[in-house]
Amino acid sequence: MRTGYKSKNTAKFFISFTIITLLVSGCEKLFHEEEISLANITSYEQLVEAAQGLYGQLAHSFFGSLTGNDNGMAYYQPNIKSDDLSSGIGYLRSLYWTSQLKHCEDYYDPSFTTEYEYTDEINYTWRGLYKIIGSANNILTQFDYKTISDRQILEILGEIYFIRAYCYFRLTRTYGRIPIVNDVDVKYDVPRATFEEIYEFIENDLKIATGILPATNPAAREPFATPHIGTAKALLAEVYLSWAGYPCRDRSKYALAAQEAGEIIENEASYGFEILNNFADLWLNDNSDNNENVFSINYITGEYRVMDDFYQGFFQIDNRYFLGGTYIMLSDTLGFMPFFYPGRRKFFNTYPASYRKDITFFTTIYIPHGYQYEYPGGEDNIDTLETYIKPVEPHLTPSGNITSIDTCYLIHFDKVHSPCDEVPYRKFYYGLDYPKEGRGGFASGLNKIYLFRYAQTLLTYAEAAARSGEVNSLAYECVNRIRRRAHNVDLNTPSPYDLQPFLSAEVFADSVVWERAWELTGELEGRWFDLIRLEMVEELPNLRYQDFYDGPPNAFDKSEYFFPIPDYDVNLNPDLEN
Amino acid sequence: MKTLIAALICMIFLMPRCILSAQDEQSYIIRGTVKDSITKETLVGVNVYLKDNQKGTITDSKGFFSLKLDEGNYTIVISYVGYRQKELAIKADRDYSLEIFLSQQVTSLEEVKITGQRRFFGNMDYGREIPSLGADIIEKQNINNASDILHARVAGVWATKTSGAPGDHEKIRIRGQNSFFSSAEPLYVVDGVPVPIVNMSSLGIADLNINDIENITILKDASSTALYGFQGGNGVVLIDTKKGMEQRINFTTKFGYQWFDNFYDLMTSEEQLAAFDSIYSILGYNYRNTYPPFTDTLCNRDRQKDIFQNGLLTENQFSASGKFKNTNYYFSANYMSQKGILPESKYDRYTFSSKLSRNFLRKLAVEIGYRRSKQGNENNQNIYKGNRLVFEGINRSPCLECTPDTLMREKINFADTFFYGGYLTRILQDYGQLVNNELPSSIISENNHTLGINTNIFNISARLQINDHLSLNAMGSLMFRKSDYDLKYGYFFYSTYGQYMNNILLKSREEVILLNHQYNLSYNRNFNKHEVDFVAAYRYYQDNLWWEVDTLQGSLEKYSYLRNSMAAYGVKGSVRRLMHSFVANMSYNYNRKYFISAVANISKIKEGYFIEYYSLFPSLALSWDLAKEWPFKNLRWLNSCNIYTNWGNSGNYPLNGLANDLYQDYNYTYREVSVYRPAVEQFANHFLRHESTSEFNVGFDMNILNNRLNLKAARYLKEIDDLIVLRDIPQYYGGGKQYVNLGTISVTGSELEIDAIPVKRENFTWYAKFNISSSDQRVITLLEDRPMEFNDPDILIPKFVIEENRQMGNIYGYKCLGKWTQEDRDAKTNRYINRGEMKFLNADSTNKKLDDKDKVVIGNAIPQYTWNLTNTFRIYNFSIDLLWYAVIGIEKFNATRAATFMAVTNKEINNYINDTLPVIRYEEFYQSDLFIDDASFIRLKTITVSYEPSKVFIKNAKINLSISFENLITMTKYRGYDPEATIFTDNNFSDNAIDKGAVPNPKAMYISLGITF
Repeated sequence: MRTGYKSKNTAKFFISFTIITLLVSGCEKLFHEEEISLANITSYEQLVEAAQGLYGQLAHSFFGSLTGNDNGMAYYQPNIKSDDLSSGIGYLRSLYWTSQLKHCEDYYDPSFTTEYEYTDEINYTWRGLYKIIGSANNILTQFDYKTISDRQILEILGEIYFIRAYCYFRLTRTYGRIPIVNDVDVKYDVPRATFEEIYEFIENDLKIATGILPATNPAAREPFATPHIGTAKALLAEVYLSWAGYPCRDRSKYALAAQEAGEIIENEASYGFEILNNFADLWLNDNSDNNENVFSINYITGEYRVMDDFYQGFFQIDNRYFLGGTYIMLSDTLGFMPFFYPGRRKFFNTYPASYRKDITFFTTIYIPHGYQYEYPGGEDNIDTLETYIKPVEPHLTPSGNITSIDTCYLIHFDKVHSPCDEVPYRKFYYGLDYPKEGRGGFASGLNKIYLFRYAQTLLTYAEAAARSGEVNSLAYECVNRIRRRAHNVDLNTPSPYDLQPFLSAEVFADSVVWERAWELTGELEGRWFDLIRLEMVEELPNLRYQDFYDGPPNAFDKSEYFFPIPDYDVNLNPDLEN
Repeated sequence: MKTLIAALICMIFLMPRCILSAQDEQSYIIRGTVKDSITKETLVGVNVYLKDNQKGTITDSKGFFSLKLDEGNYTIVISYVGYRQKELAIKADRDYSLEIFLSQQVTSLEEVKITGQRRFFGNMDYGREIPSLGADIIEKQNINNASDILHARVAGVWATKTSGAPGDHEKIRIRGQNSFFSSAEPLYVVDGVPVPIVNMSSLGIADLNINDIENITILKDASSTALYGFQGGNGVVLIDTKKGMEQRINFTTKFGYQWFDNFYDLMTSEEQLAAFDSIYSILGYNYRNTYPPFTDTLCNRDRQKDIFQNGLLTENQFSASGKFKNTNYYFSANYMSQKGILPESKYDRYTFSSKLSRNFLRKLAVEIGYRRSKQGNENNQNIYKGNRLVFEGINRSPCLECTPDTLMREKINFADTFFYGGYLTRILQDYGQLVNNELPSSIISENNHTLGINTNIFNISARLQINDHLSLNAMGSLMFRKSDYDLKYGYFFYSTYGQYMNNILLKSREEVILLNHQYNLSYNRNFNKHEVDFVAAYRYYQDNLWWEVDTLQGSLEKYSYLRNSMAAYGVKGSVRRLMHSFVANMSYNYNRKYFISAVANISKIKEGYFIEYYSLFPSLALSWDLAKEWPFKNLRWLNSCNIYTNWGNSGNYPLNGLANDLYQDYNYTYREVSVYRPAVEQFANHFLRHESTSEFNVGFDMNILNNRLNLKAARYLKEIDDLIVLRDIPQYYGGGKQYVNLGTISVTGSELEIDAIPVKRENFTWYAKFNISSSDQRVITLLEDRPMEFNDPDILIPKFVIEENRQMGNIYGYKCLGKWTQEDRDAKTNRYINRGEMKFLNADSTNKKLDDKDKVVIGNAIPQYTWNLTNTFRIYNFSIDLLWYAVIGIEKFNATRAATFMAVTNKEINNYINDTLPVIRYEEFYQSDLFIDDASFIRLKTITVSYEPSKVFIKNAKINLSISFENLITMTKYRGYDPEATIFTDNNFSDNAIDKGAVPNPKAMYISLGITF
């Protein structure tokens, strides 16, 4: 009896102990879920979040570079070699120092120990775009679009394929033969792909994207201006156009470019693309959601303010002006010091006078009286300059931040003929006008930077059609719509500004190239890449004035076409040796 | 719950029972013989005494003893050097004759108690002695943190009290620095449960009440740490807490006083002005004319004395244990409160622990435990990259009254425009000094950080004795730990154009949930002289770290990682890790003479999305007692001589999300609507594995001269493969850094331990213990033969490089060879470079610049050897304990001293002013060996005098009064505050090599009084 009682007790205990143990070990709810992991995307909502992260990264790689370094805007770096966009002296000055120091191995004066590390700034685009590719790969390796039937998921995947294609497209035109990465496991021996491989990879991504993207921009995906089939086709047309030129020189792709772009133009209404009637409307803040926008990077307000504050730290706000695309900083020692990518003077001078030119550039700017405008062109040009600096009445001064200054000078850029290679952009400037509240700057009026506009697609069609041997009426219509708008006349009525009919294909194509240059002046996917694909880089010495800060006379050859792959990566992976 | 309440009620009645129990006059005689448990030989000279009072005897030449006892309950303690101490509960109600078997235990001289079931995988025998520290060592010390016990007690354990801040714990390195980028701290296992190492709350075992510790065992070599598989590579510290045995109530109260007096001898106002005068005159200015207001206020203050205060500590401890019905209980409560030597720094800790155990039918033993602790830290961590207050103390000009006005003037007019060109200003900013124009008091008010940690641990364990040979153990444990960290931090941006204040308010929370359950089945059998043991065990371990950070304004760093983790410490996240271990152990011994044991541990790890793999950790141990062999058998002076050798594998995987990709929130704005969405910031290595340690160990353990002298020596050869290092990710994968397994290091070392009882008389005993250990770690291979660099680009320090065939811990910097002379000028050699009139070695003579390639080894941050010497004297009722501790052959970069040069407060600078003034403006100067100090030291770590009166006013009560001093004597060449205090950010040894204003270890005095019923 007694033992029976005891063993019952023991059994009871054992059972309860086992139950407790099982309970405890099975109690998964005690633990927190992995909250930061996108390594295993399980729901549609998670996929959407992950995809939206890519847009954030894209914005960051563009605007984030503003804050990344002192002279920022690394995303623009390929473009500044072009004839429409200048680096601004601040930036070139730094490059100048860097190049000087490179030749100063034996120079060990202690005051010059710190070298400017601008090479890192050049790498910013490389790193930024590859980061997006990495994020895209992280998602795409988890989904096989061929086996997925859910329309919603496919549409998101299409966006990601599109963004990856764009990143590779810009990378290959900036750095040439880049490594292709499409997985998430870091390897140190990825080789440089050939151009054909890269373009085929991009084409493949875009073909997939066109297959699974929605036909129009779904309202559900607001606030993200997401790509749709039309967007992907527009990019594909650009890809084919580049493919046909340098370095692949596969002229058969012109026909494909014309085909893709033509398909969009025929169905422009269904894709929701149109050309705005007034060129100025493109750049107005309240009209930034227009139908001419094919794909854009949206502006990060917060990031930008960081930079504002950053500069406030170094310069008194009263002494600071923003002019289109140009920071003008007035400091005691450096005088009048423009920063950041203004337009180039010769381009400005050869730009045919038109409504579009007035919108594109400031022809006059104000600078405060009392500051020495130390003209970068050198001693010889000071007389010329002073001729065109006129004191203006106080009531003409821009309002806001320069109230403490009595008089301003007005500079007429169109009358100054000098090698000084800068003209400020107006179209990127806040509301196309001078600063209202002491703030402003690059693209701030727009809250977005266009990557592709429908106008570019029209011109792409026109050029591709011409180069594939077919100058048809649609090609003429495309060019003329742009030309009519440049002069602010009705888009659909023939006008005196139309292109002369019955041009030869070659002449027609060349005129389209210039039309592109003027239409897309200073824009991200514009002029510089045309110069590359058409092998016009060698002509640059004729296309722009010799810049005081450019150093030795510019001699351009094929080595100028692409940036070298950053040393950082070459060191880690010697296969990438430039 | 009922049992708990019953036990509590019982406690209240216990006290009178204790007092009353000895009132009966009737007495009985307890007789007995004491024998060896294996050989059955009688033992001579065994101590047999009553635990509660002073009555005792020793066994005679036949191993016989007798004790005359009054009627009552007693605990008889049988202890003999070289054997495990045994306690017997005896009810003296008749005469007894006992036969007592003591099991052999080659042990340290303090009668170390080792509880049989100390290791969760069963009572494994390793064929040699495992160093362990018993409660009597622990109780004797007036220490404040459980990790302090390990200080200077065991050979091969390098324990460093890295900060004198209250509540700070020791950094422990067992048998060398075994890792470079991963954690090198040992694994703490408390009552069988591994303590997770996580970011904020990783205070080791700081949440333990020292008085609750029954026993600490240190597993040093891979053959024993193989049991712990992935976590065992850095050594394992096993801690067992007390359980209720005899009836006992204890109150202890302790009071401590700390002070610091080893200040820098800084310039006086006049001296600094004179220095400024000469500096300015060299540059062609008249200093006193240039800054007259500055020179008006000569307050001549030594700011160091404003910074340091005296620390205070109080601790109260209560514990009760006993038996109620069939249940043994143990309760303890402890409250400790400490005021640090820096203003506003505080630490307090409440702990409560309880344990109930009960046997059913002698076959089943069940134990339930609950521990709770609450720790509060205030301003004990060093802020950001250095301790601002310490820097404030040494760098503020003695000339100035500390008003914001004058300080501002000082800064703008003198410091920045003149000396601190951009680069150095940045350095000083990082050290958190000079650039803020606050008074020390306002630094305190503007910088406040608190860390509160709450821990709750539930334990349940059961042991079932199935039959005489077979037993099953099961154990489950659940731990919740919550930490709250609030940081208020103000710092200045400063440039020549103005100054900008940035305030950071950071609130972060961290939660750790841990679940561990384990089972082991053990089988033990003796056949004559053969003894066989089999153990099969399974362990399930899962822990989950969750964190959340609110940054109210600004952010500390762009990404601040979880320690050792790729997981972003950005907004919030969580990491889960899961381990399964299957362990089999077989051991056999013949006649206690030959011994062999083998362990196979197959473990599986799963962490995050990518890591999931199995690994095998085998080990083998052999030992042979030479003393039982001819001809040694006949040597009377040789009591035992174990020769052993073993080999094993274990791993070191930090289990902290290293293999998790890092995600960051990216901002995207559209129509002024801003959203944050996650995207991959950097990829982690998805194939990361643990560092695998393979160790071969050989040694002996000898007892001679009637167990009066014990000698132990060991030599180990360790090879650590798959070393985890941080490697750059190519930018075409997005850039950043990831942890990869590459490289091998070898660690070789020797240990020698001598325990002796030089004098043993009735009223005077002298125990002496000395141990010395050395280790040498060398890099064998690194991938592609490329050196790995580790340095913090923000801080002006020499760099740390691991390079093939070089020692780990090397500090690289410029070699400074004194002042530049006319002869040097004439020689025109590329070998040396003149920079600021100082001569530097141009090691890489391909160019004439002094650059990174010219850095040579200027020091090593890992000590060559450490030694400890413990002496204990027992004279009548007094006991005196002295502990010497020495670390030899270690160098450090003294950034604190470098800062005094930058700020022109150090008297030494006069040597540089006249002809080599510019030198103090150059970074090379600060990256040179001029600031590498020899940080070797010999320190009288503690000296304790305790007194236990033999008669107390209450019967059966025992009083213990002790007084101890800490760090009274330090012999060192180090030119900073404290050669021992340095690390304060991570586990990485490079921190150990830089003194960035760490809180020095103060001198201290503790008085404690304990009463036991």
